[in-house]
Amino acid sequence: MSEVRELPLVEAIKEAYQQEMERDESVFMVGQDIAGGIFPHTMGLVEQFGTDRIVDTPLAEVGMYGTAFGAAMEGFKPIVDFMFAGFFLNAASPILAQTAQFRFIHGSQMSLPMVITGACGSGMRLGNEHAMLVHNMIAQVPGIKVCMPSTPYDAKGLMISAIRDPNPVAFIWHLGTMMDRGPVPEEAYEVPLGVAEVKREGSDITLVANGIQYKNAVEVADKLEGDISVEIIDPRSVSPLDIDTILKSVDKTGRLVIVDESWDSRSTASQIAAQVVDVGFDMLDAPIRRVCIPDIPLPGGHMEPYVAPNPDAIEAAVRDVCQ
Amino acid sequence: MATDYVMPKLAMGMNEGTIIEWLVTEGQQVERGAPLMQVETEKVVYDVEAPVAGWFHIKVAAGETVPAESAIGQFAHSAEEYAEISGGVVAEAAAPEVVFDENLTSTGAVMPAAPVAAPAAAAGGRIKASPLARKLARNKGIDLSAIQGTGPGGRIVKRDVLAAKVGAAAPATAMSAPGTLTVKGTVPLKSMRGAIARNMMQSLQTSAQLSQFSEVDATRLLKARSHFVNHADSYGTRVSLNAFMVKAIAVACQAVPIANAAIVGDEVVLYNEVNVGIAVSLPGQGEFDSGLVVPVLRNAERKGLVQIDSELRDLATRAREGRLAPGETEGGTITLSPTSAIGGEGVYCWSTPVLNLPQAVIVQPGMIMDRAVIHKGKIRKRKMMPLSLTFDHRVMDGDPFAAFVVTLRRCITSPELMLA
Repeated sequence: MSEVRELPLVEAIKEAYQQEMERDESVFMVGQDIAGGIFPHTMGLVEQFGTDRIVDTPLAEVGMYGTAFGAAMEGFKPIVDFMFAGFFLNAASPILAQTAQFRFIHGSQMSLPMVITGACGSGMRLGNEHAMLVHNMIAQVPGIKVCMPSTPYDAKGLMISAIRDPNPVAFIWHLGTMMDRGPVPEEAYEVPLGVAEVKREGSDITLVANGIQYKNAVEVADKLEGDISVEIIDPRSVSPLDIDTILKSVDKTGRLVIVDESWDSRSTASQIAAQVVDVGFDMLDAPIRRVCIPDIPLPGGHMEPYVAPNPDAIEAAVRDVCQ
Repeated sequence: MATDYVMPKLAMGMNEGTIIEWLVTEGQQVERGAPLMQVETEKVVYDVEAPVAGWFHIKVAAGETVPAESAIGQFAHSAEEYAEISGGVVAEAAAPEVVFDENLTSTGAVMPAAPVAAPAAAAGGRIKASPLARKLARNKGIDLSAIQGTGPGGRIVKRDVLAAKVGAAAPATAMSAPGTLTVKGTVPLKSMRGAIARNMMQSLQTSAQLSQFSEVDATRLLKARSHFVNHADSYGTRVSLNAFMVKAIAVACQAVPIANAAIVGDEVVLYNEVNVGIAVSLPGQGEFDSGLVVPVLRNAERKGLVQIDSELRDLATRAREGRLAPGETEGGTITLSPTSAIGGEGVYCWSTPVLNLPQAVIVQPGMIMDRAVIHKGKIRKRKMMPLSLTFDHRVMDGDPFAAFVVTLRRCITSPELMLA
């Protein structure tokens, strides 16, 4: 068996684009700076697929999104790239109010097979709008699936699933994972949406984390090895949320810490905690702890690493729960 | 020498205390004034602070009930001394030597902390256990109250249940043979339940109780109250019937001082202050239990209706929340068992109230209802109150008691007389 090559996460996303656009002519991209490439995930695509399928737009989110929306209604499968995911808010009404509810409003007669993507997250001190975490905001509205990869393997598989899914899917990736390398098979494959993965087995505590926080969780689990046995679950999708995988793990460990790079209130962490208490109350041997961004704006300067969830905060929460 | 730590006597009437929870762990180095344990007495739950500093050795486990002043722990002056008294276990704290205050003894210096909301166990002695621990204990038939928790704040966690012996205090769940009784539940006669049982029994067995029932026209009392209620905004309280009853009792006690008395030793002692105990019913500690506490409203003879009412509400609220301060249930000279205590809504009835010893009189008004009575020669609908009283025949005889009742009734039929 040949060894699987390693790719950075952005290359894995690009490979998903390439393979799906080669496979299906109705797939095309519309977005900001995708003909050039602030991030390398679109580098070279315009040379390969031409300007008809790599549609670079000005900084006009509503128009850019409207192009994709209309094309999706006509049977195309657009990938609309906001570059920095926080700017999806400029097109919040067409995305959250119209796209999410489109299929419902049309009595399940029509759907919008589109991918909404962009990068965000702490770690680069980019400041409030560019780092703004939006996965939970989109997940707030039923009708759009929302996923966030933690590894290059998942990035390619989730993107392919997102493109092939007949529903609108938001694929939000974390800037801090951009150059993370990991094994990525050459052929096209799907990682199912709405399915979490136990990424590391353990017996003392369940630690849920995604995006860059998955990396931090691994760092903490490594450090505590021999002392506290940490089971790490990557939710991969925040909507729909695979609560069953989390519950199964909590049933084994009796303890739960959820890391979610998002504001504490109304985060996926809060949602997971609520559902685990609801269904798995009798499984809990300790209070659930959430490691999130406190309810203040995420600062772009030197305070960012202190405000965002970090390995120290995760370790403290894990130790606290394992007293 | 290590200093013994005894169950503090937190109130005059405290005979025993239940250690709800140790707020320190075995061998912990404790600062003077640090929260040490949570104690439930017959009346309230207290947080107790460490009277001295030292390495603390727990001698009586949480959940145990012990007499006041009996030894329940020891303060060692040093880690070495702790190792000695605890049987060779080395204290984990290796902090610098703590200066030990020789002038303090554990009994004299105990300071009950302000009874703020306790994080670990609410009033009623709730056991702190994780949901998983509760489920495991339920499945294995283990009584959580028999387990000492090792989790944060003494919480019982999974490992504690797994370590506990099965069957030690298993509830009877097995099917019984036909014809025998099965146990639905038990109510331990301890803490508040134990105190009530003991006091009631003692009262009925050691005093000469005579009860008297009558019916009194409360039409004008309700009218008088309605004036206060109409001005509730300016008074800041809706003056209750209980406040009127407290006031009436105070007036009657001043008219007949022997009613405001107690047997102390071999004499009857009469008091100047009319301190009226008010029976407040409480939920019990378990599914089948109920509780009762009697906070005392002091100097009713010197207070107006509005002040009496405000104080009554405050006492009742804090009694229900388990936040009465030490001493607030002490020093009563006569007791009022409020209207709601018996009968309930729509039941017109009398009962034989049981004396709250060593007091000589207890007053129990019943539910006021419309009754047909002969009023000024005609049958009229009037608001009538059934009134039950019990007095101690050792303290007084029929005449003074009759005088007391007459004055009390007069205050109810003509409430303006209370202005005198």
